[in-house]
Amino acid sequence: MGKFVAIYQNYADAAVLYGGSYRVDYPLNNVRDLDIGRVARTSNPATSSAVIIADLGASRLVGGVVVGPTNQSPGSTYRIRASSFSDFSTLVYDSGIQTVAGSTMNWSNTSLWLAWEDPGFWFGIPDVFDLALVPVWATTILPTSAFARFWKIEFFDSLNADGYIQFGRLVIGRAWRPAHNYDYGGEFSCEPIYRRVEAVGGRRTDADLGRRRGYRLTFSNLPDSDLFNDVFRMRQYTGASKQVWVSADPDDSDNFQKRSFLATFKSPPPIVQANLDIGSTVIDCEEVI
Amino acid sequence: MYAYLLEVEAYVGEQDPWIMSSGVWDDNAVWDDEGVWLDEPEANPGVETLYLATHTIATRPTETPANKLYDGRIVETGNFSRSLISQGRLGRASDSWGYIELANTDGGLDSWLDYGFDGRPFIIKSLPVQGMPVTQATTLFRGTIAALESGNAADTLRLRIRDRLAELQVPLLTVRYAGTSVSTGLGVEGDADLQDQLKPRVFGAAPNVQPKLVNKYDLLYQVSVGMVSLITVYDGAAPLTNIGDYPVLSSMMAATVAPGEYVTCYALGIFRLGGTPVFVITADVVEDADDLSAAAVAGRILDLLDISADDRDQDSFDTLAASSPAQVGLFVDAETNALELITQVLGSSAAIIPNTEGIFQVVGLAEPVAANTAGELTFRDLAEGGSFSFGVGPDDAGVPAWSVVLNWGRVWQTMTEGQIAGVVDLARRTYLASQWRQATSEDASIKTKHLLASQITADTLLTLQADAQAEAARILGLYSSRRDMLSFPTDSDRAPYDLGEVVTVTLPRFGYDDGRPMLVVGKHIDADKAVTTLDLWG
Repeated sequence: MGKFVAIYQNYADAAVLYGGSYRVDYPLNNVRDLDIGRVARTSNPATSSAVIIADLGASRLVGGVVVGPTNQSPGSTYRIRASSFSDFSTLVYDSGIQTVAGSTMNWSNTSLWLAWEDPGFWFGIPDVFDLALVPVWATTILPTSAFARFWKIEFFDSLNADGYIQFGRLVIGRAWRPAHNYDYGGEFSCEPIYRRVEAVGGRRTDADLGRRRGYRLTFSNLPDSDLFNDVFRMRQYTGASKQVWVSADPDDSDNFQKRSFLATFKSPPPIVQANLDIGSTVIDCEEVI
Repeated sequence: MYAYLLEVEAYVGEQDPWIMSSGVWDDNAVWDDEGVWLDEPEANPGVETLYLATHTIATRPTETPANKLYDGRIVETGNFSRSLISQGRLGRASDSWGYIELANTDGGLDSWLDYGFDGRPFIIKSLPVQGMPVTQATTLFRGTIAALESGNAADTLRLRIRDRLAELQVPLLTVRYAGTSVSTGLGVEGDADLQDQLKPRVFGAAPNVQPKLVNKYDLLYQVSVGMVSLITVYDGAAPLTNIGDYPVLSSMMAATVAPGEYVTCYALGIFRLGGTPVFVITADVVEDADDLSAAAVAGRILDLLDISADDRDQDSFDTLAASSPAQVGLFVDAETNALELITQVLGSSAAIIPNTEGIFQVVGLAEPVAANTAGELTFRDLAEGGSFSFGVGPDDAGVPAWSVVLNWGRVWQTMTEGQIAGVVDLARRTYLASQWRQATSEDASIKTKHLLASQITADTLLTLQADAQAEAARILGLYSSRRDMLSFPTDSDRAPYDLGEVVTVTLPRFGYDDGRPMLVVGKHIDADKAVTTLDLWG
């Protein structure tokens, strides 16, 4: 099991974005819009078209790169490279070829097996993709943060059935990886969004408008190096309005998409001083939909 | 229901046709070797369709519209009301007002403040399921933007909306006399006395209208700017002799006409007298049309407003014309709005109102019968806030009517004794002294049960006694028994019924146990709560 991670302070929002080929009506800069539905859409699914290069203006300490929601095909791949040079002649980081997490079936995990009638059974596609239960994100959490100005993301999905690849948001930010994982009792919520009409006789009719995931996780016994570096920076920068990308367990590839999402804080994480150099905080956030 | 979609037209300013709306140079521009544009695009008239929704939705290339982004800014979808009740009277369509509220906290819509929205069309659609192509969204309401407004533009903007009935609330007559006919042979525009007065128009058959003297030097009179099929002229109510009709003004002017005679130009609605009149000149006029029924006349009024065939439900007009073929007559020479005139023409038999698609339709007001029912509403469908009114009628009495008196056969210019020539007989003198004739239908047995049973009196534009008598009997049939008005709120998915449809209502009380057919006379949609309240009469 991996530890919770939060990607915050999105440098991509102020970056110069270029590369690839995008439709005029869905330009690449749409990934800087806070609305994840305002997508950037490639002109075609060719590998040469599905490229994002971000010039952060200066070298920045980056702990994670997230692109999505995306319509990438299950099992399709991507690659992220970072460099201090625009020609990427010398790399600071190279993810290698990555598969979109959780997009292919892990047959060794019998709990996830599909019934053979499921549409995805024959193609090894998990039901989270079949039913579009959650938005899908192409995510790379760097093992250790990298310091680079130019970041290049390439997508390899030239047979995409939609005839294009699209992304709602690009996050290139710092990563908070707490010294200790969250406490027992963390809450992973699902808020239904709906309108209900109740007849006089009690019969209810609902307009189902969607779901919003949320986390309320308590982190105890954190050292000051956590609390007054990443936690402090994250809450001051993010407040209640800026977006942060969270994953409760980035190592859980089977359930990665279910447990990870773009969020805003319901309230910025408090820093509770328990003892000398020891404290706690709470991540209370809800999904951006 | 998953999302609401809004498509609204706006004037955003004329743009260089080679620059796309996104501000990007159009790479598809084609030039020849000398730098001349080939395949030059049409000039952009400056009007664009803007796309918004309750969720941000990016359409696929295969959808219609293709590759469009519906910006997820709708905060409140608003309320939409359409009703066949206005000022307490069943059959008079009422205008619908509401608003759509849009998020603007980020200033994303600040540029809209310079756009022109008023009078432009919009459509609200409902998308049932996430991921469903927007092509499959169903139209909830199509109407007209009244204005863009806000009391708090930093956070929200509001599109004030109304239904297309507003397009009928304009003066029907707009053409006025120029006042340039100041001597003989100078046309039919009247002189200073007539200048800027509206040119009259006749629909159907209108007896004894007072024509406009459009050239007093040539004794030219006009009864209608539309083509007519008959003009019978009277001097002091005594008929003059028509010696011929001419297709154009010049040939009519060339004709020799003796005193006591007249010639006509039906194409222009004009006649010329052979001698100076002694008394008041009046005329019986018949419009040049095959069908003089109320539905047909209403249709021709829509024609004058440039409401095209695509914008009207012709089947509803044809159905009404078939069920109510009675001839009507209307003479208009004042600044009356078109909706008021159509309402007068349709009288008690029907009302005009746009349907949910914004298409104008006439809805017949007939007794709801079970055989025509389009669906059923039960107690299980009834949401909070309903109301039940029993014993409603066309007036405030609240009890059934025992008598209906319809005024018919309107004389458009009544005449007193001093205005009538001596040769006119007593019967015609009596006829011209009264604006209306009356047709009565009564059922005295109603008063056995209802001691306060009312009498309905109403004006019509019917021109024949038999038609008026039949209509009086029909109305008595509608209002001589108990009639209820239900305000029935329910989940919007349970209320697909439109105005004029019949719904069977089954409730455990009020005598509704076995179901009662009711006519939908009002529909009020609260889109945000997903509640629709139907006004049901029957």
